[in-house]
Amino acid sequence: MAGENEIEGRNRNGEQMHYSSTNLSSDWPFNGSNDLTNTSPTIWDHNPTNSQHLGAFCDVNLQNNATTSSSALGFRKGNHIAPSSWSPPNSAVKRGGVFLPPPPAATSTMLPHTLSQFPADSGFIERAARLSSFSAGNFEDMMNPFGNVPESSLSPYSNRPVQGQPQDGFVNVIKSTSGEGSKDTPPPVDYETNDGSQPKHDARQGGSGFSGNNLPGEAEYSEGGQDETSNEGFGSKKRRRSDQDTDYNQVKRSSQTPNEATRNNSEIQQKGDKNPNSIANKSSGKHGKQVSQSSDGQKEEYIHVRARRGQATNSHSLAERVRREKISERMKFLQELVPGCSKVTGKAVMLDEIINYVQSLQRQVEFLSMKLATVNPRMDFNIEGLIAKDMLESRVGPSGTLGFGADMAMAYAHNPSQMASIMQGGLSGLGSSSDAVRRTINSHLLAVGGVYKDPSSQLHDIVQMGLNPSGTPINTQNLGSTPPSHLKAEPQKTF
Amino acid sequence: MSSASQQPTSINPIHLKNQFALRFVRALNTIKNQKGSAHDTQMHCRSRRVKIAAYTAMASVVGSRRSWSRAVLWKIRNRSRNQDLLRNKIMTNHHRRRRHAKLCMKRRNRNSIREDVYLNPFRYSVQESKLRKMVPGGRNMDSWCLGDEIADYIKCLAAQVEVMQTLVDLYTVT
Repeated sequence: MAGENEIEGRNRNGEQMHYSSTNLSSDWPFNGSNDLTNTSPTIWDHNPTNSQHLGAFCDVNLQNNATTSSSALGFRKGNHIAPSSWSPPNSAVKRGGVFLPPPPAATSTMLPHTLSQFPADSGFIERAARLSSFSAGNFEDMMNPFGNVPESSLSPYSNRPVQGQPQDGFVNVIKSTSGEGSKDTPPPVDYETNDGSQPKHDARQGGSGFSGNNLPGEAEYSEGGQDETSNEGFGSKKRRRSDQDTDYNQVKRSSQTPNEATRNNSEIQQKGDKNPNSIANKSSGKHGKQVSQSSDGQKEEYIHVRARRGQATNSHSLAERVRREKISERMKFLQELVPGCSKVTGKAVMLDEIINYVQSLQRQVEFLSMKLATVNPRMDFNIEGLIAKDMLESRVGPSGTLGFGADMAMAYAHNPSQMASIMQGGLSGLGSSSDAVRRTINSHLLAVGGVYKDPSSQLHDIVQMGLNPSGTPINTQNLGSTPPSHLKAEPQKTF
Repeated sequence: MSSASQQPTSINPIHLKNQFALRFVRALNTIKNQKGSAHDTQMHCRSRRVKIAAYTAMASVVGSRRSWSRAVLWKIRNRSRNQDLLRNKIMTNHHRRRRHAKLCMKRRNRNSIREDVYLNPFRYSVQESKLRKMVPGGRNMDSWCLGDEIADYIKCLAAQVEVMQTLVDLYTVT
């Protein structure tokens, strides 16, 4: 188990280097070391003490960020404080998104956004790039390549040779205290413990440092989570979701949760429950969503997701998992709709099938409309389908205008004028069997109920028209006159 | 949102077909009864009108519940409005220019800005972009809503095709 001092030293060193090397935007929702506290049971189950160390790191880093000169003192102080009191950091973070151990009052003033103070570390960047190329393996895989990771402690703060030149007093102090190489990827924890004014910025840097992602494309990493194959939207997001989601994300998430930073909040409010497909700023969108995911209970509009056993719990992976579940559930529904897609697996193939199906349907509509346009204009397009089924079946006229079939049930016309036109249309092709027609019409009208403005007069008109074959021209005329008004009225009504 | 999304999908498909048939047939009658010019020369026009009538009828049945139906109806309404205004001889030159400018702007916006958005290969796959183009109103939606709309659109489109097929069979028998 690495000593606290050593760990802190490494932490601070890495943090410095990370800060200098990364010019991250303030997208990071993560804040402070709260992530560590929250995710300690999950990430470092095998190494429960690590969380404490992380907490210590947070404290220390916070102080370190503030002032590079007095790092040594605060460093050690944080060391002593952190492990013993785990709750204070949490409360400190909640206070204002600033992760500060209570005792060092000076730390509150030492939280400037001095992230840019740290010079870039080439070695760090190199490691970061290497780290980022890893697939979303487990924590150990990610950490191992970085050096001699002792089996006992899988914490990110494991011993690691210092790489990169000492940039300020921190590194020197670290070297003196730890005697080991400083860690190059200190955690994000350090960054996250930064003051609340730039929680996102810190968190982002921290996260990036953790995963070695110094590039502006960091957002991608942060979002990646454990989902290598998850896709933004439907298809293949080229972005490597492969990233190391585990510890990185966890750290981010843990640090972010308790953060009440205004910026975080604003971002959260903006992007709380929205899907992360924000056009303008992908990273911010994703961060926002992750923020929403992780800060359970802080805001009501967030999706409360519970990580299943054996799954990563960082905000990224949670958000991704929720999203993937929604998309897969929709895919299942689409599979039922599209014929012949039951055996198809995979989103890409499914999408192709859907595209083909929609295209074929649209082509069919076009073809059928062409055919309908060529229909003999002599025939009336009557709305017989709405008339009683038995009436239709028994009254197929010579013109073939009747007989919509079993599909057309009656009593769907809710508009009295509609009904009148339907009746007129239906009767146009009728034969001379007026009695039966009258009976069915009466029954139909009664069934519809008081839909008519003037049932009696209309009924009489209809019956007379039905009985009088010579009335057909009148019927068609009426039919022709009413539809246009209906048609024009329709779009307006729906609006 | 869940209730809203569930609501449209719970429509009885038969009801959907009936409603669509009603409005579509009405529209067909209108088209048929328009100052019908020569049958052959205007085949293309008529078929186009019938197609538009079919889509409009289906969209009006669905109403404002779905984003795609709203997009269809809005498109058609704007198109008719613009056409009417453009053809209106009373309209002054000023109005005409403004209307023309608006149309151009709309076209430009539609083609340039939004196209970039959903054609971005990093954000959406090729298939998804294609889907967005095919489904009316699919430009401004996020992926999950798009999937929802696609499901509803496919359902309505299939019903539409069925009804139209029935109509064609009905009227071409004799």
